[in-house]
Amino acid sequence: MGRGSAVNRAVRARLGKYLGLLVLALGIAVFPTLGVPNYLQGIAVLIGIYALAAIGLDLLLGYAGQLSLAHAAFFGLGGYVSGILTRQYHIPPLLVVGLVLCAALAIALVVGIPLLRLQEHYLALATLGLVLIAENLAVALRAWTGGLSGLPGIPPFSVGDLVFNSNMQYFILVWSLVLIFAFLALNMAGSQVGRAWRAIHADELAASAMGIDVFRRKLQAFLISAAAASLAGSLYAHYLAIFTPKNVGLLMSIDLVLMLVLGGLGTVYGAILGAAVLKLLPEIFEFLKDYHLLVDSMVLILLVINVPDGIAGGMRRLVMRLRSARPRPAAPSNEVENLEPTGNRRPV
Amino acid sequence: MEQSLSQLLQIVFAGITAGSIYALVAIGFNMVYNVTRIPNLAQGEFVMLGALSAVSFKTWVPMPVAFLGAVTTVALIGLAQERFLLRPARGASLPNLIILTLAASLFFEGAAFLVWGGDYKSLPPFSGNEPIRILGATLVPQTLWVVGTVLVVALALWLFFEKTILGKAMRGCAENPLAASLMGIEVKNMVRLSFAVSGGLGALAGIVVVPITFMEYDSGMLVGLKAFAVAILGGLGSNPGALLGGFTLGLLEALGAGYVSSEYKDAIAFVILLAVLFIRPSGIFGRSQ
Repeated sequence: MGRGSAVNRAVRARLGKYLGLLVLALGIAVFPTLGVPNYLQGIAVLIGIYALAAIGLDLLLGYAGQLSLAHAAFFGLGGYVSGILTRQYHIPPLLVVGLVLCAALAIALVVGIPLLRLQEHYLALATLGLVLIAENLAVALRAWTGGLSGLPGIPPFSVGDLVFNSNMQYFILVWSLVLIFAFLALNMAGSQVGRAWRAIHADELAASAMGIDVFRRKLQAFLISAAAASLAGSLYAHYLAIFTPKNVGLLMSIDLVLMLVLGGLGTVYGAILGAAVLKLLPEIFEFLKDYHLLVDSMVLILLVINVPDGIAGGMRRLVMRLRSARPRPAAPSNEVENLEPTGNRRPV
Repeated sequence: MEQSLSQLLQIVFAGITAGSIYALVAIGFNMVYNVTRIPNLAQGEFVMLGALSAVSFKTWVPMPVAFLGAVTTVALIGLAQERFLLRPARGASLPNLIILTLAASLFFEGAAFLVWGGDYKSLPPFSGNEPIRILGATLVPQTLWVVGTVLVVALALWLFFEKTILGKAMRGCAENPLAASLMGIEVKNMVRLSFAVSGGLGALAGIVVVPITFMEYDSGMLVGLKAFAVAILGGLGSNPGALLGGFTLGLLEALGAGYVSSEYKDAIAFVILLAVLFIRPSGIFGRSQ
């Protein structure tokens, strides 16, 4: 192949990388003009909030390959700190969000240092322990959190005099943040940091032999994902005006991992797709009432078995198949290689 | 002084009861893990399914038959989980496996809700309700059934793995599936057996404990997660480790609930578990990584 085609390829790869963001930006711009019913606008806001946390977790789980079930704890940290400080102490929400981010980073640092030395099942268990501790504290520290019934009456988010009190305002706020964060995440993933994460995912020993500071890179992903989850928690608390221990619990952590597995690990877009699917599923199957849990779990099982690389992965395979069906050379391998799910595969 | 002794004893009894259940479920967890390397987080649901189906069967047949029926039913459910869930997902990554087994957990809960509804269910104790008094503490006879079951199961499994050809074949699969299949061992059957046995063990745990703690459709998940914790605490795959880990977690929980605050029971247990993991990253009995 000549030089020209290599340049072409680079341009095309870059376009491909940001094409999704462009589509997303267009979608966000068009959404307010569609006249979507208020109720669906609310679901869209929630999807955006979950997507924010899921993108962060994707950097840790999808790229660096570290399974964490602890992220509901950070989501809860954001929700409760925002709720308590704005409700009882009337501190401006924006300032509180800043405090929340600092607190989340500090806690993630303290917890992450011993935690990230653990591997695979041990890491999964330790993070599971963390989330169960957080859930327990959220219920037991009744004076602060309101116990099982939660923290009601959290004031809406505001910046100066601008008070966010409609679904559409929240939609624009949340999805702008999703867009910005997705852009940053894609850039990180494509940079040296992202390559280091993928190397760690594939083989930790080999990565450290290549001179990658494995522990530091893992900690970096952990801090970013913790900050994202806590920001999402703050927004959630302001948007719904109530925060309960359910938002801190294990099921919430599982939901976040589910979103990634469903959407496709290590793709950033997968986090957004997964959040959308997981939040829409119960709405679609709501008419089933008692059969709800049964059908939900069955759909998840079928998806994970049949599309193990998630919706984003499935779509990419489909595109590749369509391309290779055309009479021209197959897509060059360097577009594909770094996106293959690797690591953690074990012979059975 | 005397009162504090009887209080301690009371707490120890409670801890041993809970610990026995964790140990039983963790042994089942290890069984599947050793042969397939799959962490089956739906293990706790077997406890719930065993308990609730025993309660139902008892309305038609005498108690021992009902128990046998419940154990068989849940063993079959274990087999079905292997066939329809984990065999199609062979070779999946760890996050996918964890999600799959958790989804299975939710599926079992959803099914149990349809069958039994959302009420708490219980059984009468096996041998009366007359408490035994020891040094001022009271011991319900059912506790002896629970502890006895664990010890009998542990002994039986030890004999099975050490003395029988089938047990040795299973250990061979755990050690190296390829080499085992070259020795003429049908690995597939060993996988099936491990799921059936782990289902049966979970059901047994549920049956012996349901006279003490009430059960409903969503009682299983937390038991399963704690058994996972116990299996890892004791070193994944080690049955003596599961026993020791189970009793350790049960006692820690009971001590925390008795002396600090019952509200912080789970938090205390898991803080200690994290401390153990941070000091010994492969558990107490685990081989170092």
